[in-house]
Amino acid sequence: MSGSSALADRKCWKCGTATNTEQELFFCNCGVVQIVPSDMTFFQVMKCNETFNIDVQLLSELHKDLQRKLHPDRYSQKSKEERLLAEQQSAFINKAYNTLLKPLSRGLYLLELHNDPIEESNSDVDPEFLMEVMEVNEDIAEASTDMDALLKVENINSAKINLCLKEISKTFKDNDIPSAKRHLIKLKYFTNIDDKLKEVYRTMMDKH
Amino acid sequence: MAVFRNLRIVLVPFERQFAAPVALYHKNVIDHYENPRNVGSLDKNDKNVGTGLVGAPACGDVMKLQVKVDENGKIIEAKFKTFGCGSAIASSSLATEWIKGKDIGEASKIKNTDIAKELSLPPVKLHCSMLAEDAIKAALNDWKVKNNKNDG
Repeated sequence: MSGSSALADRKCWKCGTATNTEQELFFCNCGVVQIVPSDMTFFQVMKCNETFNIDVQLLSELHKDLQRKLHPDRYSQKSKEERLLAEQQSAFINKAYNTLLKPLSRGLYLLELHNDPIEESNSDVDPEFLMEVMEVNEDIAEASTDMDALLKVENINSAKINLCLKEISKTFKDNDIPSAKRHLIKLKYFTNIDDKLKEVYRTMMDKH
Repeated sequence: MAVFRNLRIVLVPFERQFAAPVALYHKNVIDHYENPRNVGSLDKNDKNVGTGLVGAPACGDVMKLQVKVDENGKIIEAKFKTFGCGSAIASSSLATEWIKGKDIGEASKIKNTDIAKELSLPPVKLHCSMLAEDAIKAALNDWKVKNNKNDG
């Protein structure tokens, strides 16, 4: 399989003609499925502007449409190369979709694109904020199976998430990456709290 | 008891990870995870208590480690509370066990590599042991600051 794999200067691996990055991102006009460009971002593949605020509904529609076009059933009669490429395209699109769908993973991905990801070794968190997280976790433990108490924690946490999303959106718009990062760290903690509450609800349901 | 209720909450994702062959936990981790030592809190306003509160933002983990130091500079009590993954809980549990009975000079020499080795943590979980080392240092530092202030 030959052909350039970078987004600019792409050529169809089969017929050799230059492919248009817009209309021929997935298929060459000759009808053959294309190689995933090595430098393509998730935003590019899903035809989104590289911003925090994206149209999630459009994203979902495009994802569904592409998955239909790249479905393995359509390639059962095609060559092995095409089948493999369709699989690779499909996997890449799924990864792009899942990353961009949720604000947290979308924001973290934007940080990566700005070469400022949240590293594992990073431990720079505001101590007062950590204390707050600690207390919320203790509240959840304390609430145990008291549904009213749990819902109260959940409501407050949801409000914090919404506020946080607004801040992230604003800071990305202002291209203030360090602030966006600080707010994304908070969003990560709030999301963990939300996940934990859902886990508590599930455990309670299992018991009934 | 609240502590144990809380542990049950985090147990579910742990089991899920545990079931996956790629993320097997070593038996030492599981032991500290299932039977965490020294879970709880000390009075953070007590002059003899040092509190360390640290976080790992990449995972959204939070760890609180507290020490109670006697007049000879010996750690007579250590408690922790960690909300995070199994390795973070095990690392802080082991850390409190190790520092109990040590004087503060010895305790500050504990390295994350020692914790990681004892628990056989895989490379992706090394940051959990780093968090525990940070927590020890933060707790000891808090105690030092508090007491210098009170002495002067």
